[in-house]
Amino acid sequence: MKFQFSGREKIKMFEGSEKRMGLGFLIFSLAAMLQFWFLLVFDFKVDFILVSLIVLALFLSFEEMILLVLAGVWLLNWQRSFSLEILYFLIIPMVVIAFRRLLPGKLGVTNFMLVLLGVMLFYTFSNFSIFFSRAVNVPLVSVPAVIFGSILFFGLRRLFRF
Amino acid sequence: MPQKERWFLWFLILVVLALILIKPFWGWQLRRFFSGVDRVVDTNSSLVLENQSLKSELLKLENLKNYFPSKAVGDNYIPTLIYSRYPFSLKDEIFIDRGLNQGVQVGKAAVIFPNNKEGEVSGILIGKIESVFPETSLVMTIFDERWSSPVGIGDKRIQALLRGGNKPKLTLMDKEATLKDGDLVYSLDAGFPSLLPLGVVRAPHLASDHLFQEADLEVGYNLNEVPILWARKN
Repeated sequence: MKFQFSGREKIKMFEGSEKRMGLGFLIFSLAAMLQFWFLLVFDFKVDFILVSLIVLALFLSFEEMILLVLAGVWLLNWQRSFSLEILYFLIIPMVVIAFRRLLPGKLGVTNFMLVLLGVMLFYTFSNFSIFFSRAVNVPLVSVPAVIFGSILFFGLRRLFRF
Repeated sequence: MPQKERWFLWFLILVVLALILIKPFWGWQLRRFFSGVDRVVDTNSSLVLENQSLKSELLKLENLKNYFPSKAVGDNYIPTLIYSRYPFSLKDEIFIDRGLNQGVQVGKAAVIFPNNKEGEVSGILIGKIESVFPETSLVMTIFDERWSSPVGIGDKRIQALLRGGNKPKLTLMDKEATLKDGDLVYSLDAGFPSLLPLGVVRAPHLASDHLFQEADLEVGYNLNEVPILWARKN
């Protein structure tokens, strides 16, 4: 069995929407399990799902992203109606995909800034006052998100060879 | 992208949209599955499976029984099931299955009765009703960063301010007050029934400004494992 694949072979493996979607759903599911597992074990929530959608927005197509984002909404919406937080959760990855052509390539720094900006904007719009209640809140929401986003980005970049 | 794939993706998008609008409960159940709650053991034998299922039901009922008060609390509280929890950081809200039509009111206390002991009638304050809909309500808990309420400590009724968060904190306590681990903390908020317990003091220390004392609030329950809470009617 072959374990080492060339760059061209790697791209071929993930050509076709079904393969990209499969990978996208796998990453989304892993992010979901990680988010809820973190809560169970560490009694703390990290927004792995939002971060995974921001990073995946750099690699997937518009329709594929809409599907994943709506799946995230279905999984995370904790009320019968749409809340503002869910609306921001829906908008932020869509903004990334809308403007990704303007981004300077698939650089790690770009991804870092996107994840940081995305998470900070999310909390700025949904609950701005919490950043003033405790100074520790800023690193608390941003550092785990950025670390996860970077790991995910570099992993996907190797797979897609961008 | 080939046209067929695009059409298929849009079909899936419509399916998920329908699930969001018509079956949000399935999403909450899926989240509970991801959270590792309510795992069902699958077996080969139908008899063993039925036995496991019955044991699981019995366990759920036993678990639920632990969250009912041992004595009648009258018509002052409405029992509610917890549907789902706020999924993002720094805010802790609970969505419950009772609302305006069942008598739930904004601002009223939300309590639990985690110990089925004789004499346990006051319950433990875990939050307040934040907003009410016809059949459901949102509860803000003391683990929410936005929570802030006056509390008293011990038999000397030392006054403090409870600040919410992942680890709720007792702040603005008199520097000269004598505090020790295990002192009872109870609510002094005028909007709640008097002296509702919240938890106990843990690790009292001088605040960084050296003007007041601070401490952690230790609670004797895990909110993620609580299936029922009681909403105060009046």
